[in-house]
Amino acid sequence: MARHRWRAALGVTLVAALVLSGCATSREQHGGGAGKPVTGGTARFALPPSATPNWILPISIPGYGASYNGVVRAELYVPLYNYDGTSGSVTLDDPSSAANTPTYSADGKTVTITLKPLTWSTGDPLTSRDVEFWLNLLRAGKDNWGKYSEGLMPDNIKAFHTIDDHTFTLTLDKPYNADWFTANQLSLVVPMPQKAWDRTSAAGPVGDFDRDPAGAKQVFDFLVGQAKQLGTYSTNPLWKVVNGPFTLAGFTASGQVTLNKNPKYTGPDPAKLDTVQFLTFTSSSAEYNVLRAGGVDYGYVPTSNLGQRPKLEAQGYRIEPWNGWSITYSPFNFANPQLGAAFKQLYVRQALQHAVDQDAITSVIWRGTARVDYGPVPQDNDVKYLSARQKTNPYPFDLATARKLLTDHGWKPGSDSVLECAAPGTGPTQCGEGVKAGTRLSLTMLTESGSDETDGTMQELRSELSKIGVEMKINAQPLNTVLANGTACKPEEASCSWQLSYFGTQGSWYFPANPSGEDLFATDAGTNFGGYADKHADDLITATNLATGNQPMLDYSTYLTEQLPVLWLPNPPYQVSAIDTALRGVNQDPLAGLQPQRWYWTR
Amino acid sequence: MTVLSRVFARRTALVGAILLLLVILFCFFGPLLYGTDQSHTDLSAARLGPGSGHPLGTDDLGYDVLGRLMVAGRTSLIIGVLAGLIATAIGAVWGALAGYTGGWLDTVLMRVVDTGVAIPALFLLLVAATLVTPSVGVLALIIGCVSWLVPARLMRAETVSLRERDYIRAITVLGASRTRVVFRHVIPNAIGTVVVNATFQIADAILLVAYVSFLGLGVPAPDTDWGAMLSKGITYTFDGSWWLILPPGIAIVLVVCAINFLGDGLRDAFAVKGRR
Repeated sequence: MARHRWRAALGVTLVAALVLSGCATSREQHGGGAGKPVTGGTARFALPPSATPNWILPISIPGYGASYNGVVRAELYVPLYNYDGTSGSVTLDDPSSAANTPTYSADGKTVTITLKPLTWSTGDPLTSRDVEFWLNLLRAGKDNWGKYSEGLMPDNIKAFHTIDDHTFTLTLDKPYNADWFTANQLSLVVPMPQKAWDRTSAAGPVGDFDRDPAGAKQVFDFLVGQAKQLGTYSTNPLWKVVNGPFTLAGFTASGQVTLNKNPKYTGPDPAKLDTVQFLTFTSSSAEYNVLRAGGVDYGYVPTSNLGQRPKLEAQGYRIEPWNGWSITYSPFNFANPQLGAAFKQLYVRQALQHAVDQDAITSVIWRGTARVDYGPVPQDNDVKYLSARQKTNPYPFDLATARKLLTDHGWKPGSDSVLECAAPGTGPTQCGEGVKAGTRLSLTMLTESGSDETDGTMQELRSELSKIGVEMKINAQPLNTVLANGTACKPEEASCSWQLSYFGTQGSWYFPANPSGEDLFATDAGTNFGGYADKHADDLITATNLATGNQPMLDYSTYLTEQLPVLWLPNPPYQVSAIDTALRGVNQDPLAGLQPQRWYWTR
Repeated sequence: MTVLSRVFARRTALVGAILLLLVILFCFFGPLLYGTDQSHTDLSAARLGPGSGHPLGTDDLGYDVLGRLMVAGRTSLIIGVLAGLIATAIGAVWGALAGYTGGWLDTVLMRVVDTGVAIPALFLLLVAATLVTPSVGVLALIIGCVSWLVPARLMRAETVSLRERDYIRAITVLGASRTRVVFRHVIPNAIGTVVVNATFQIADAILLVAYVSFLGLGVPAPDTDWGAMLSKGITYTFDGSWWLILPPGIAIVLVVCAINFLGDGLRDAFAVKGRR
């Protein structure tokens, strides 16, 4: 029984320890030095809360397209074209691209590309065949590619023609806006080592299997199968063959990644550091504790702790917000058996949007670090693509209007105050096509866990929606679970039970150079998770891909702002970074690129 | 002297009982005197320090902390009491059955207990809380189901002692069934052990709720408990929002201490009764 007496003492000690932990000082010194560059060393980078890299193959399947996967992958496999926005405008980043600037024929239907003299770690040079290999595999597995949109890559490449080992041409199905095509289509191409990966099994021989559609599918399935085995990443010979500035030295099942400098890299953008470690954290608070203890060189500060900026700076960190070329939203699952039909009603989406208090969420929960987001293009100061309609917000926070929209269409409060469809039908005062009598506006938000700001945003949203008679339940899961479960589906599938999802703690979607929506909102697009389908939207998106000038983008911005294919939510910064002042060469790319090969220590 | 007077003869037990009573009044009747909206956020009043209108300030979503402390305490107490009772009930029956029956059944039942004890309760809780959506009932059930092992051991030891008593032997010879003996004679005569242990189980359960909620697997928002409040408050430790940390922390300590004090008093009271 004596141990019971200790419980109270233990409880007191626990609380005291928790309180005193706030007074803890750093254990590892950061910053300082004369600022003179030194070679080598290790940098520790903190991954977003509850984010764990889980994909390595340069062709990502749906649910595995998180930006941090791309960040790691780009260090191992050099993309054909890489864009960067650190200069203030989004431009081609030539050193981190595998090819020289493309040239387009006068009729706009042929693109000629010359590869740079890069070398795979096997000693083989990067050749046109490696690009052809990527293209053949993509054609075979396009339906299982997370970025596939019908009619676009790879459908729009009619022919691949090898001129020599380093030069090839692509024949396009029609003339495209050249800037858009390079920025949004060719930037998707990532040459893959055909001489190492063109096989159908681990023990099988390497051949030209990809040149036959059936063989290509077998190779695609084999590589996807290998990529699903996270535990083997650091030992699988496939992933040892790289052409980027780093090699994969470690990859734990929990997602912690270690990259070592690639001594065989032959390109113009070699790594300066010996090692980069990507650390994983279950929550932003956990990351912040490690940051305060000095265990992270490049981390982030939860907005709840922004008041600690002076202390962090004294500890040797510089604090820099990292804003993204991004939008943030919550997809409606239009195929959900219970609420899909209700989501298809524009007035329902308008009512829900009217219940989002973006100003309060950005200023209070995000402490001013997030920006409002009213539409499909980044709500940036750059007005090049931003329509007047999106800029001014057609659906401001207004609970009275929100509730009226619903009650005017036949929704009445049930016994628990949650609105129910009392007037099914398609008339102007009825619930709308497909909405059954008694349908309750009770929805579940599948949201990512680990972020206090996201938790707060969801609670605020739940609170406001309850005031208009909409019940919102919150189901918080790790980010990878949200991305894997909140995908496009058919109503009869078990996986279609999700209703709304949120994966926007650091922004939901980071655009390539051109913020067009072919990946997001085109019918059947790979990242059109909610299954939004609108012929006019498709036409507008196509126009942004083909026509020159900004008007198509402005039209697209206007229409999608009004149509609400998703619930627009405040767009957080990628993060508020805390960077060791001695770590230099860091560019916080709005496109969420990282380029750790350019980092270096100063002492 | 009655059991109650013997309990309160111990001053700490009296303090514990008064404290517990005050906390119960605070949590269950406090909202009647101090009404706050604990369902809707109010971002315009977020993170206000203690002052007029909000004696203990507000949290990051504008919830009044004093009102939240009441609501959260209600959740913590309900889960704690339910879980403690579930654990005690399962443990009492399991231990009595094992102790009275003896033989291979005793061996099997107690090896199950030994195996269970070897697995950390917190681990089991975290696994269970990720598999099901937590709610007051679910958490009480889960915590109760992982906390019955110690009561089972205590009850078995008590039963082994009781089964050798003459009156137990007598009713056994008279043909009473095993079930009747266990439920009508063994468990009632071990009531002292059961009651004392129940208090400690409740205190432990309140702490377990706090652990689970602190790790983010407690009752979903807008419901909360003291552990969840503490967890959220810790986020703002570095920003000096002490009013988000100290109230729930102190509440947990007070209640756990109070229940333990009361348990110690009960133990002593039953011990005296046993000696007589």
